[in-house]
Amino acid sequence: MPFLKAHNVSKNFGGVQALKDVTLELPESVVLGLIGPNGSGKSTLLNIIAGLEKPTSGIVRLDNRRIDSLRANRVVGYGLAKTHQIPKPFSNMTARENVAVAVLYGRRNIPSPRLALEEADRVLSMVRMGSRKDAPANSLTVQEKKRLELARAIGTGASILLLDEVFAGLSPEELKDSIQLFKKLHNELRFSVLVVEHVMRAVLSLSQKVMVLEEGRVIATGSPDEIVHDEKVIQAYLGSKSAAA
Amino acid sequence: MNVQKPGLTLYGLFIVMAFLAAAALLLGVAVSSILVVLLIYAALAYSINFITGMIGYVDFGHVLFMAIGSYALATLVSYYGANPLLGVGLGALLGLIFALGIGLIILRFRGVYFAIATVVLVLAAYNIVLQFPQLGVGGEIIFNLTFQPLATYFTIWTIVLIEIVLTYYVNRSRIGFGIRAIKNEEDAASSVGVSPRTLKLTGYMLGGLFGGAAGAVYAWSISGVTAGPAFDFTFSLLMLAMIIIGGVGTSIGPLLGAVVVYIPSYFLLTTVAQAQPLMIGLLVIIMALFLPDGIVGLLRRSNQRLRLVLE
Repeated sequence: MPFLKAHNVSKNFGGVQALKDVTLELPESVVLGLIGPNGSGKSTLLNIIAGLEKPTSGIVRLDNRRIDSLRANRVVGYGLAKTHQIPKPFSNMTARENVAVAVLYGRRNIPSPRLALEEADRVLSMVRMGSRKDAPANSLTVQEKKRLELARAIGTGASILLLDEVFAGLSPEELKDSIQLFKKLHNELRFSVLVVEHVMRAVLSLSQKVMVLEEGRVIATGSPDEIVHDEKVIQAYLGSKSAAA
Repeated sequence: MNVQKPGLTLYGLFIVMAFLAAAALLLGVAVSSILVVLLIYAALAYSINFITGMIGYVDFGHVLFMAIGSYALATLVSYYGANPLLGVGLGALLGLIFALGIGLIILRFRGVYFAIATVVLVLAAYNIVLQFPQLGVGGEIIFNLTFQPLATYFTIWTIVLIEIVLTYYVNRSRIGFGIRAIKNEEDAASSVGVSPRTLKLTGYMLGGLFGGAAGAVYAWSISGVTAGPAFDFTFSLLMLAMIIIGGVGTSIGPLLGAVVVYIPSYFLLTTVAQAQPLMIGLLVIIMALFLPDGIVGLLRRSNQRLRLVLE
Protein backbone atom coordinates (compact mmCIF):
# COMPACT_ATOMS: atom_id res chain seq x y z
CA MET A 1 0.00 0.00 0.00
CA PRO A 2 1.88 3.10 -1.19
CA PHE A 3 1.76 6.08 1.03
CA LEU A 4 3.66 9.16 -0.04
CA LYS A 5 4.66 11.72 2.53
CA ALA A 6 6.72 14.89 2.24
CA HIS A 7 7.71 16.36 5.56
CA ASN A 8 8.83 19.97 6.15
CA VAL A 9 10.30 20.30 2.69
CA SER A 10 12.12 23.55 1.92
CA LYS A 11 13.98 24.54 -1.20
CA ASN A 12 16.20 27.55 -1.82
CA PHE A 13 17.39 28.68 -5.23
CA GLY A 14 20.21 31.09 -4.38
CA GLY A 15 18.51 33.71 -2.23
CA VAL A 16 14.99 32.78 -3.31
CA GLN A 17 13.05 30.46 -1.07
CA ALA A 18 10.82 28.48 -3.42
CA LEU A 19 9.34 26.18 -0.75
CA LYS A 20 8.99 26.80 2.99
CA ASP A 21 8.27 23.85 5.28
CA VAL A 22 5.75 22.15 3.03
CA THR A 23 4.19 18.98 4.40
CA LEU A 24 2.04 16.77 2.22
CA GLU A 25 0.40 13.37 2.50
CA LEU A 26 -0.90 11.27 -0.35
CA PRO A 27 -2.74 8.11 0.75
CA GLU A 28 -3.37 5.20 -1.60
CA SER A 29 -5.66 5.81 -4.58
CA VAL A 30 -6.29 9.43 -3.63
CA VAL A 31 -6.16 12.27 -6.16
CA LEU A 32 -4.60 15.31 -4.55
CA GLY A 33 -4.77 18.58 -6.48
CA LEU A 34 -1.97 21.07 -6.04
CA ILE A 35 -2.86 24.61 -7.06
CA GLY A 36 -1.48 28.09 -6.59
CA PRO A 37 -0.52 31.21 -8.55
CA ASN A 38 2.49 31.22 -10.87
CA GLY A 39 5.77 30.84 -9.02
CA SER A 40 4.15 29.45 -5.89
CA GLY A 41 6.41 26.38 -5.92
CA LYS A 42 4.09 23.69 -7.29
CA SER A 43 6.44 22.38 -9.94
CA THR A 44 9.42 22.56 -7.58
CA LEU A 45 7.58 20.36 -5.09
CA LEU A 46 6.74 17.87 -7.82
CA ASN A 47 10.35 17.84 -9.04
CA ILE A 48 11.63 17.18 -5.52
CA ILE A 49 9.27 14.24 -5.04
CA ALA A 50 10.25 12.83 -8.44
CA GLY A 51 13.97 13.05 -7.57
CA LEU A 52 14.73 15.68 -10.22
CA GLU A 53 15.80 18.16 -7.55
CA LYS A 54 17.12 17.74 -4.02
CA PRO A 55 15.34 19.53 -1.16
CA THR A 56 17.41 22.04 0.83
CA SER A 57 15.88 20.53 3.96
CA GLY A 58 13.07 18.15 4.82
CA ILE A 59 12.39 14.55 3.82
CA VAL A 60 10.25 12.61 1.36
CA ARG A 61 9.14 9.11 2.24
CA LEU A 62 7.39 6.43 0.26
CA ASP A 63 5.91 4.01 2.80
CA ASN A 64 8.87 3.91 5.18
CA ARG A 65 11.69 4.43 2.73
CA ARG A 66 13.33 7.79 2.26
CA ILE A 67 13.40 8.69 -1.42
CA ASP A 68 14.63 12.30 -1.31
CA SER A 69 18.27 11.38 -1.93
CA LEU A 70 17.57 9.05 -4.87
CA ARG A 71 18.14 9.99 -8.51
CA ALA A 72 15.08 10.33 -10.73
CA ASN A 73 15.55 7.01 -12.51
CA ARG A 74 15.75 5.15 -9.18
CA VAL A 75 12.58 6.80 -7.90
CA VAL A 76 10.75 5.23 -10.86
CA GLY A 77 11.74 1.81 -9.50
CA TYR A 78 9.77 2.55 -6.34
CA GLY A 79 6.62 3.18 -8.33
CA LEU A 80 6.54 6.92 -8.89
CA ALA A 81 6.33 8.44 -12.35
CA LYS A 82 6.14 12.07 -13.40
CA THR A 83 4.89 13.64 -16.60
CA HIS A 84 6.50 16.77 -17.99
CA GLN A 85 4.79 20.13 -18.12
CA ILE A 86 6.18 20.61 -21.62
CA PRO A 87 5.91 17.16 -23.23
CA LYS A 88 9.28 15.55 -23.87
CA PRO A 89 8.67 12.68 -26.26
CA PHE A 90 11.56 10.65 -27.62
CA SER A 91 10.95 12.17 -31.02
CA ASN A 92 13.11 9.74 -33.00
CA MET A 93 10.86 6.89 -31.92
CA THR A 94 7.25 5.93 -32.60
CA ALA A 95 4.56 6.30 -29.95
CA ARG A 96 4.67 2.61 -29.06
CA GLU A 97 8.47 2.64 -28.83
CA ASN A 98 8.22 5.62 -26.48
CA VAL A 99 5.96 3.67 -24.15
CA ALA A 100 8.04 0.50 -24.58
CA VAL A 101 11.05 2.33 -23.08
CA ALA A 102 8.96 3.02 -19.98
CA VAL A 103 7.78 -0.60 -19.82
CA LEU A 104 11.35 -1.92 -20.17
CA TYR A 105 12.89 0.40 -17.59
CA GLY A 106 10.00 0.87 -15.17
CA ARG A 107 9.33 -1.32 -12.15
CA ARG A 108 7.72 -4.18 -14.00
CA ASN A 109 10.70 -6.28 -14.91
CA ILE A 110 9.81 -6.92 -18.55
CA PRO A 111 13.22 -7.23 -20.26
CA SER A 112 12.01 -8.40 -23.70
CA PRO A 113 11.45 -5.63 -26.25
CA ARG A 114 8.84 -7.76 -28.01
CA LEU A 115 6.71 -8.15 -24.88
CA ALA A 116 7.32 -4.51 -23.96
CA LEU A 117 5.99 -3.36 -27.35
CA GLU A 118 2.87 -5.50 -26.90
CA GLU A 119 2.33 -4.00 -23.46
CA ALA A 120 2.93 -0.53 -24.92
CA ASP A 121 0.13 -1.15 -27.44
CA ARG A 122 -2.20 -2.08 -24.59
CA VAL A 123 -1.34 1.06 -22.60
CA LEU A 124 -1.76 3.24 -25.70
CA SER A 125 -5.25 1.92 -26.34
CA MET A 126 -6.06 2.56 -22.68
CA VAL A 127 -5.29 6.25 -23.23
CA ARG A 128 -7.16 6.10 -26.57
CA MET A 129 -4.05 6.45 -28.68
CA GLY A 130 -4.24 2.94 -30.14
CA SER A 131 -4.72 4.23 -33.68
CA ARG A 132 -1.59 6.40 -33.41
CA LYS A 133 0.79 3.80 -32.06
CA ASP A 134 3.03 3.68 -35.14
CA ALA A 135 3.17 7.46 -35.57
CA PRO A 136 6.60 9.06 -35.04
CA ALA A 137 6.39 10.92 -31.73
CA ASN A 138 7.38 14.23 -33.32
CA SER A 139 4.32 14.11 -35.60
CA LEU A 140 1.83 13.99 -32.72
CA THR A 141 -0.43 16.93 -31.78
CA VAL A 142 -0.05 18.68 -28.43
CA GLN A 143 -2.93 16.71 -26.96
CA GLU A 144 -1.48 13.45 -28.23
CA LYS A 145 1.93 14.31 -26.83
CA LYS A 146 0.33 14.91 -23.43
CA ARG A 147 -1.43 11.57 -23.69
CA LEU A 148 1.88 9.98 -24.59
CA GLU A 149 3.41 11.45 -21.42
CA LEU A 150 0.57 9.86 -19.47
CA ALA A 151 0.98 6.55 -21.29
CA ARG A 152 4.70 6.49 -20.51
CA ALA A 153 4.02 7.18 -16.83
CA ILE A 154 1.44 4.38 -16.71
CA GLY A 155 3.79 2.16 -18.73
CA THR A 156 6.39 2.23 -15.95
CA GLY A 157 3.90 0.41 -13.75
CA ALA A 158 3.78 3.31 -11.31
CA SER A 159 1.29 3.28 -8.47
CA ILE A 160 1.76 7.01 -7.89
CA LEU A 161 1.53 9.49 -10.75
CA LEU A 162 2.87 13.02 -10.56
CA LEU A 163 1.09 14.98 -13.27
CA ASP A 164 2.43 18.41 -14.17
CA GLU A 165 -0.22 20.36 -16.06
CA VAL A 166 -1.48 17.58 -18.30
CA PHE A 167 -4.70 19.48 -18.93
CA ALA A 168 -3.18 22.83 -19.89
CA GLY A 169 -3.41 24.13 -23.43
CA LEU A 170 -6.32 21.95 -24.52
CA SER A 171 -9.48 23.11 -26.28
CA PRO A 172 -12.72 22.90 -24.21
CA GLU A 173 -13.72 19.79 -26.13
CA GLU A 174 -10.33 18.13 -25.62
CA LEU A 175 -10.43 19.10 -21.95
CA LYS A 176 -13.80 17.43 -21.40
CA ASP A 177 -12.50 14.36 -23.16
CA SER A 178 -9.31 14.26 -21.11
CA ILE A 179 -11.10 14.66 -17.78
CA GLN A 180 -13.44 11.82 -18.66
CA LEU A 181 -10.51 9.64 -19.71
CA PHE A 182 -8.62 10.40 -16.52
CA LYS A 183 -11.62 9.41 -14.38
CA LYS A 184 -11.96 6.15 -16.25
CA LEU A 185 -8.25 5.33 -15.86
CA HIS A 186 -8.31 6.14 -12.17
CA ASN A 187 -11.29 3.84 -11.66
CA GLU A 188 -9.53 1.00 -13.46
CA LEU A 189 -6.00 1.34 -12.14
CA ARG A 190 -6.56 2.95 -8.74
CA PHE A 191 -3.24 4.81 -8.76
CA SER A 192 -2.64 7.73 -6.42
CA VAL A 193 -2.15 11.04 -8.16
CA LEU A 194 -0.57 14.33 -7.30
CA VAL A 195 -1.83 16.70 -9.93
CA VAL A 196 -0.44 20.20 -10.48
CA GLU A 197 -2.89 22.18 -12.54
CA HIS A 198 -3.94 25.66 -13.56
CA VAL A 199 -7.16 24.57 -15.17
CA MET A 200 -9.53 24.88 -12.19
CA ARG A 201 -12.34 22.97 -13.81
CA ALA A 202 -10.08 19.95 -14.12
CA VAL A 203 -8.61 20.08 -10.60
CA LEU A 204 -11.92 20.61 -8.86
CA SER A 205 -13.72 17.83 -10.66
CA LEU A 206 -10.92 15.25 -10.30
CA SER A 207 -9.41 15.79 -6.87
CA GLN A 208 -10.68 14.43 -3.59
CA LYS A 209 -8.44 16.86 -1.80
CA VAL A 210 -6.83 20.12 -2.85
CA MET A 211 -3.78 21.85 -1.44
CA VAL A 212 -3.08 25.52 -2.18
CA LEU A 213 0.44 26.96 -2.29
CA GLU A 214 1.31 30.63 -2.22
CA GLU A 215 4.91 31.87 -2.26
CA GLY A 216 6.18 28.47 -1.24
CA ARG A 217 3.83 27.97 1.73
CA VAL A 218 0.71 25.86 2.13
CA ILE A 219 -2.14 28.32 2.76
CA ALA A 220 -5.06 25.89 2.64
CA THR A 221 -5.91 22.21 2.38
CA GLY A 222 -9.37 20.72 2.03
CA SER A 223 -12.04 19.31 -0.21
CA PRO A 224 -12.54 21.13 -3.54
CA ASP A 225 -15.72 22.66 -2.14
CA GLU A 226 -13.99 24.02 0.96
CA ILE A 227 -11.14 25.41 -1.11
CA VAL A 228 -13.25 27.52 -3.45
CA HIS A 229 -14.86 29.20 -0.44
CA ASP A 230 -11.66 29.70 1.53
CA GLU A 231 -10.92 33.40 2.25
CA LYS A 232 -7.16 33.05 1.96
CA VAL A 233 -7.40 31.21 -1.35
CA ILE A 234 -9.70 33.84 -2.83
CA GLN A 235 -7.28 36.53 -1.65
CA ALA A 236 -4.29 34.76 -3.12
CA TYR A 237 -5.95 34.45 -6.50
CA LEU A 238 -7.98 37.65 -6.74
CA GLY A 239 -6.51 40.07 -4.20
CA SER A 240 -8.09 41.27 -0.92
CA LYS A 241 -10.46 43.83 -2.44
CA SER A 242 -12.49 41.25 -4.33
CA ALA A 243 -12.63 39.11 -1.22
CA ALA A 244 -14.23 41.97 0.68
CA ALA A 245 -16.76 42.69 -2.04
CA MET B 1 13.07 -0.47 -35.94
CA ASN B 2 10.89 -3.52 -35.94
CA VAL B 3 12.05 -6.23 -33.57
CA GLN B 4 9.83 -8.90 -35.13
CA LYS B 5 11.28 -8.67 -38.62
CA PRO B 6 13.97 -11.16 -39.58
CA GLY B 7 17.50 -9.83 -39.56
CA LEU B 8 18.11 -9.26 -43.27
CA THR B 9 20.60 -6.51 -42.42
CA LEU B 10 22.62 -8.94 -40.34
CA TYR B 11 22.57 -11.64 -43.04
CA GLY B 12 23.64 -9.04 -45.61
CA LEU B 13 26.55 -7.98 -43.44
CA PHE B 14 27.56 -11.62 -42.95
CA ILE B 15 27.67 -12.08 -46.72
CA VAL B 16 29.88 -9.00 -47.12
CA MET B 17 32.19 -10.30 -44.40
CA ALA B 18 32.33 -13.71 -46.07
CA PHE B 19 33.36 -12.01 -49.33
CA LEU B 20 36.07 -10.09 -47.51
CA ALA B 21 37.41 -13.31 -46.02
CA ALA B 22 37.36 -15.09 -49.38
CA ALA B 23 39.04 -12.15 -51.12
CA ALA B 24 41.99 -12.25 -48.73
CA LEU B 25 42.40 -16.01 -49.06
CA LEU B 26 42.03 -16.19 -52.84
CA LEU B 27 43.44 -12.94 -54.20
CA GLY B 28 46.68 -12.79 -52.26
CA VAL B 29 48.76 -10.30 -50.37
CA ALA B 30 48.35 -7.31 -52.67
CA VAL B 31 44.58 -7.24 -52.23
CA SER B 32 44.56 -8.13 -48.55
CA SER B 33 47.03 -5.37 -47.73
CA ILE B 34 44.55 -2.87 -49.18
CA LEU B 35 41.54 -4.50 -47.56
CA VAL B 36 43.21 -4.66 -44.15
CA VAL B 37 43.21 -0.86 -44.00
CA LEU B 38 39.56 -0.82 -45.00
CA LEU B 39 38.79 -3.22 -42.15
CA ILE B 40 40.78 -1.11 -39.67
CA TYR B 41 38.73 1.90 -40.78
CA ALA B 42 35.53 -0.10 -40.36
CA ALA B 43 36.58 -1.30 -36.90
CA LEU B 44 37.24 2.29 -35.85
CA ALA B 45 33.93 3.45 -37.33
CA TYR B 46 32.01 0.78 -35.41
CA SER B 47 33.87 1.66 -32.22
CA ILE B 48 33.02 5.38 -32.37
CA ASN B 49 29.49 4.40 -33.37
CA PHE B 50 28.95 3.05 -29.84
CA ILE B 51 29.59 6.55 -28.49
CA THR B 52 28.69 9.20 -31.04
CA GLY B 53 26.35 7.06 -33.13
CA MET B 54 24.29 5.51 -30.39
CA ILE B 55 24.55 7.81 -27.35
CA GLY B 56 24.81 10.95 -29.51
CA TYR B 57 27.82 12.44 -27.70
CA VAL B 58 30.24 13.81 -30.28
CA ASP B 59 33.68 12.37 -29.52
CA PHE B 60 36.50 14.34 -31.16
CA GLY B 61 39.08 12.45 -29.14
CA HIS B 62 38.43 8.89 -30.14
CA VAL B 63 41.91 8.63 -31.61
CA LEU B 64 43.06 8.45 -27.96
CA PHE B 65 41.81 4.86 -27.63
CA MET B 66 43.40 3.96 -30.92
CA ALA B 67 46.73 5.33 -29.63
CA ILE B 68 46.36 3.43 -26.35
CA GLY B 69 45.91 0.21 -28.31
CA SER B 70 48.86 1.01 -30.59
CA TYR B 71 51.23 1.65 -27.68
CA ALA B 72 49.99 -1.44 -25.82
CA LEU B 73 50.81 -3.71 -28.74
CA ALA B 74 54.07 -1.95 -29.67
CA THR B 75 55.35 -2.16 -26.08
CA LEU B 76 54.45 -5.82 -25.62
CA VAL B 77 55.88 -6.88 -28.97
CA SER B 78 59.07 -4.81 -29.04
CA TYR B 79 60.11 -5.08 -25.36
CA TYR B 80 58.73 -8.46 -24.38
CA GLY B 81 58.68 -10.21 -27.73
CA ALA B 82 55.08 -11.19 -27.11
CA ASN B 83 52.66 -12.58 -29.66
CA PRO B 84 50.91 -9.65 -31.38
CA LEU B 85 47.54 -11.22 -30.57
CA LEU B 86 48.37 -10.71 -26.91
CA GLY B 87 49.04 -7.07 -27.78
CA VAL B 88 45.61 -6.76 -29.37
CA GLY B 89 44.06 -8.23 -26.21
CA LEU B 90 45.99 -5.80 -24.02
CA GLY B 91 45.04 -2.90 -26.29
CA ALA B 92 41.36 -3.78 -25.94
CA LEU B 93 41.65 -4.19 -22.18
CA LEU B 94 43.49 -0.89 -21.69
CA GLY B 95 41.01 0.86 -24.00
CA LEU B 96 38.21 -0.43 -21.79
CA ILE B 97 39.90 0.56 -18.52
CA PHE B 98 40.83 4.05 -19.74
CA ALA B 99 37.31 4.55 -21.08
CA LEU B 100 35.92 3.64 -17.67
CA GLY B 101 38.17 6.09 -15.83
CA ILE B 102 37.82 8.92 -18.35
CA GLY B 103 34.12 8.29 -18.92
CA LEU B 104 33.26 8.57 -15.24
CA ILE B 105 34.49 12.16 -15.40
CA ILE B 106 33.81 13.56 -18.85
CA LEU B 107 30.37 11.99 -19.36
CA ARG B 108 29.16 14.46 -16.75
CA PHE B 109 29.51 17.12 -19.46
CA ARG B 110 26.89 17.45 -22.13
CA GLY B 111 26.87 18.68 -25.70
CA VAL B 112 29.65 21.00 -26.75
CA TYR B 113 31.35 20.79 -23.33
CA PHE B 114 31.79 17.06 -23.76
CA ALA B 115 33.16 17.57 -27.26
CA ILE B 116 35.73 20.12 -26.02
CA ALA B 117 36.78 17.83 -23.17
CA THR B 118 37.50 15.04 -25.67
CA VAL B 119 39.76 17.34 -27.70
CA VAL B 120 41.68 18.43 -24.59
CA LEU B 121 42.18 14.81 -23.53
CA VAL B 122 44.05 13.96 -26.73
CA LEU B 123 46.33 17.01 -26.41
CA ALA B 124 47.11 16.04 -22.82
CA ALA B 125 47.72 12.37 -23.67
CA TYR B 126 50.09 13.31 -26.51
CA ASN B 127 52.25 15.37 -24.18
CA ILE B 128 52.18 12.72 -21.47
CA VAL B 129 53.42 10.08 -23.91
CA LEU B 130 56.34 12.34 -24.94
CA GLN B 131 57.45 12.47 -21.27
CA PHE B 132 57.99 8.72 -21.08
CA PRO B 133 61.28 7.49 -22.60
CA GLN B 134 59.92 3.95 -22.18
CA LEU B 135 57.50 4.76 -25.00
CA GLY B 136 60.39 5.64 -27.31
CA VAL B 137 62.12 8.87 -28.27
CA GLY B 138 59.43 11.16 -29.63
CA GLY B 139 56.96 8.45 -28.71
CA GLU B 140 58.27 6.20 -31.43
CA ILE B 141 58.47 2.43 -31.15
CA ILE B 142 59.36 0.36 -34.19
CA PHE B 143 59.53 -3.40 -34.21
CA ASN B 144 60.42 -6.13 -36.62
CA LEU B 145 58.05 -8.99 -37.13
CA THR B 146 58.03 -11.61 -39.82
CA PHE B 147 55.53 -10.47 -42.43
CA GLN B 148 52.20 -12.08 -41.48
CA PRO B 149 49.51 -10.35 -43.53
CA LEU B 150 46.86 -13.03 -43.10
CA ALA B 151 47.18 -13.09 -39.30
CA THR B 152 46.73 -9.31 -39.15
CA TYR B 153 43.92 -9.48 -41.66
CA PHE B 154 41.88 -12.12 -39.88
CA THR B 155 42.39 -10.50 -36.50
CA ILE B 156 40.82 -7.23 -37.64
CA TRP B 157 38.22 -9.17 -39.64
CA THR B 158 37.18 -10.96 -36.45
CA ILE B 159 37.05 -7.68 -34.51
CA VAL B 160 34.77 -6.11 -37.13
CA LEU B 161 32.55 -9.18 -37.14
CA ILE B 162 32.17 -9.01 -33.34
CA GLU B 163 31.40 -5.29 -33.58
CA ILE B 164 28.72 -5.86 -36.23
CA VAL B 165 26.96 -8.55 -34.20
CA LEU B 166 27.21 -6.53 -30.99
CA THR B 167 25.92 -3.33 -32.62
CA TYR B 168 23.03 -5.24 -34.14
CA TYR B 169 21.97 -6.92 -30.91
CA VAL B 170 22.49 -3.86 -28.72
CA ASN B 171 20.23 -1.88 -31.06
CA ARG B 172 17.49 -4.49 -30.84
CA SER B 173 17.74 -5.13 -27.11
CA ARG B 174 16.40 -3.39 -24.03
CA ILE B 175 19.69 -1.45 -23.85
CA GLY B 176 19.10 -0.19 -27.40
CA PHE B 177 15.73 1.24 -26.42
CA GLY B 178 17.29 2.97 -23.43
CA ILE B 179 20.16 4.34 -25.48
CA ARG B 180 17.87 5.78 -28.17
CA ALA B 181 15.78 7.41 -25.44
CA ILE B 182 18.87 9.03 -23.91
CA LYS B 183 20.11 10.22 -27.28
CA ASN B 184 16.84 12.03 -27.72
CA GLU B 185 15.80 13.33 -24.30
CA GLU B 186 18.14 12.50 -21.47
CA ASP B 187 15.89 13.95 -18.76
CA ALA B 188 12.71 12.34 -20.01
CA ALA B 189 14.58 9.05 -20.23
CA SER B 190 15.55 9.17 -16.57
CA SER B 191 11.97 10.00 -15.63
CA VAL B 192 10.82 6.64 -17.01
CA GLY B 193 13.57 4.75 -15.20
CA VAL B 194 16.46 4.76 -17.67
CA SER B 195 19.82 5.44 -16.03
CA PRO B 196 21.68 7.79 -18.40
CA ARG B 197 24.91 7.43 -16.41
CA THR B 198 25.06 3.67 -16.70
CA LEU B 199 24.12 3.50 -20.37
CA LYS B 200 26.41 6.34 -21.45
CA LEU B 201 29.31 4.71 -19.64
CA THR B 202 28.49 1.35 -21.23
CA GLY B 203 28.59 2.89 -24.71
CA TYR B 204 31.78 4.79 -23.97
CA MET B 205 33.50 1.65 -22.63
CA LEU B 206 32.52 -0.38 -25.69
CA GLY B 207 33.96 2.44 -27.81
CA GLY B 208 37.20 2.35 -25.80
CA LEU B 209 37.48 -1.43 -25.97
CA PHE B 210 37.11 -1.69 -29.74
CA GLY B 211 39.04 1.53 -30.41
CA GLY B 212 41.94 0.02 -28.44
CA ALA B 213 41.73 -3.28 -30.30
CA ALA B 214 41.65 -1.56 -33.70
CA GLY B 215 44.56 0.70 -32.74
CA ALA B 216 46.62 -2.34 -31.74
CA VAL B 217 46.00 -4.01 -35.10
CA TYR B 218 46.89 -0.75 -36.83
CA ALA B 219 50.29 -0.67 -35.06
CA TRP B 220 50.75 -4.35 -35.93
CA SER B 221 50.03 -3.70 -39.60
CA ILE B 222 52.54 -0.83 -39.87
CA SER B 223 55.08 -2.43 -37.48
CA GLY B 224 55.23 0.42 -35.04
CA VAL B 225 53.77 3.56 -33.57
CA THR B 226 54.79 7.23 -33.61
CA ALA B 227 53.27 9.84 -31.31
CA GLY B 228 52.55 12.44 -34.01
CA PRO B 229 50.43 10.30 -36.31
CA ALA B 230 49.07 8.19 -33.42
CA PHE B 231 47.40 11.22 -31.88
CA ASP B 232 46.51 12.85 -35.19
CA PHE B 233 43.27 14.78 -34.89
CA THR B 234 42.50 13.90 -38.51
CA PHE B 235 41.90 10.30 -37.47
CA SER B 236 39.17 11.33 -35.03
CA LEU B 237 37.55 13.39 -37.77
CA LEU B 238 37.80 10.52 -40.25
CA MET B 239 35.98 8.23 -37.84
CA LEU B 240 33.24 10.79 -37.31
CA ALA B 241 33.01 11.33 -41.06
CA MET B 242 32.55 7.61 -41.65
CA ILE B 243 29.57 7.23 -39.32
CA ILE B 244 27.98 10.49 -40.45
CA ILE B 245 28.26 9.44 -44.09
CA GLY B 246 27.13 5.87 -43.44
CA GLY B 247 24.35 6.54 -40.97
CA VAL B 248 24.86 7.14 -37.24
CA GLY B 249 23.88 4.48 -34.76
CA THR B 250 22.99 1.85 -37.36
CA SER B 251 24.53 -1.60 -37.83
CA ILE B 252 25.30 -1.18 -41.50
CA GLY B 253 26.22 2.52 -41.59
CA PRO B 254 29.79 2.32 -40.23
CA LEU B 255 30.79 -0.26 -42.86
CA LEU B 256 29.20 1.79 -45.66
CA GLY B 257 30.93 4.91 -44.35
CA ALA B 258 34.29 3.14 -44.14
CA VAL B 259 33.98 2.08 -47.79
CA VAL B 260 32.94 5.56 -48.96
CA VAL B 261 35.76 7.25 -47.07
CA TYR B 262 38.47 4.69 -47.69
CA ILE B 263 38.20 3.75 -51.37
CA PRO B 264 38.46 7.28 -52.82
CA SER B 265 41.11 8.28 -50.28
CA TYR B 266 43.19 5.26 -51.29
CA PHE B 267 43.27 6.44 -54.89
CA LEU B 268 43.74 10.08 -53.96
CA LEU B 269 46.65 9.18 -51.67
CA THR B 270 48.59 7.89 -54.65
CA THR B 271 47.68 10.90 -56.82
CA VAL B 272 46.81 14.12 -54.95
CA ALA B 273 47.22 13.34 -51.25
CA GLN B 274 46.22 16.83 -50.13
CA ALA B 275 42.83 16.51 -51.77
CA GLN B 276 41.80 13.70 -49.42
CA PRO B 277 40.82 15.71 -46.31
CA LEU B 278 39.27 18.35 -48.56
CA MET B 279 37.10 15.79 -50.29
CA ILE B 280 35.97 14.14 -47.06
CA GLY B 281 35.26 17.52 -45.49
CA LEU B 282 33.08 18.51 -48.42
CA LEU B 283 31.28 15.20 -48.32
CA VAL B 284 30.51 15.57 -44.60
CA ILE B 285 29.17 19.10 -45.10
CA ILE B 286 26.93 17.94 -47.94
CA MET B 287 25.70 14.99 -45.90
CA ALA B 288 25.05 17.13 -42.81
CA LEU B 289 23.06 19.62 -44.90
CA PHE B 290 21.02 17.26 -47.02
CA LEU B 291 21.24 13.77 -45.51
CA PRO B 292 21.70 14.03 -41.75
CA ASP B 293 20.86 10.35 -41.37
CA GLY B 294 23.48 9.29 -43.90
CA ILE B 295 23.35 6.76 -46.70
CA VAL B 296 21.21 4.43 -44.60
CA GLY B 297 18.67 7.22 -44.13
CA LEU B 298 18.65 7.93 -47.86
CA LEU B 299 18.06 4.26 -48.69
CA ARG B 300 15.33 3.97 -46.07
CA ARG B 301 13.42 6.90 -47.50
CA SER B 302 13.81 5.76 -51.07
CA ASN B 303 12.09 2.42 -50.60
CA GLN B 304 9.38 1.18 -48.23
CA ARG B 305 10.85 -2.30 -48.04
CA LEU B 306 14.35 -1.02 -47.29
CA ARG B 307 12.86 1.13 -44.54
CA LEU B 308 11.75 -2.02 -42.75
CA VAL B 309 14.85 -4.15 -43.18
CA LEU B 310 17.78 -1.69 -42.97
CA GLU B 311 19.09 -1.42 -39.45
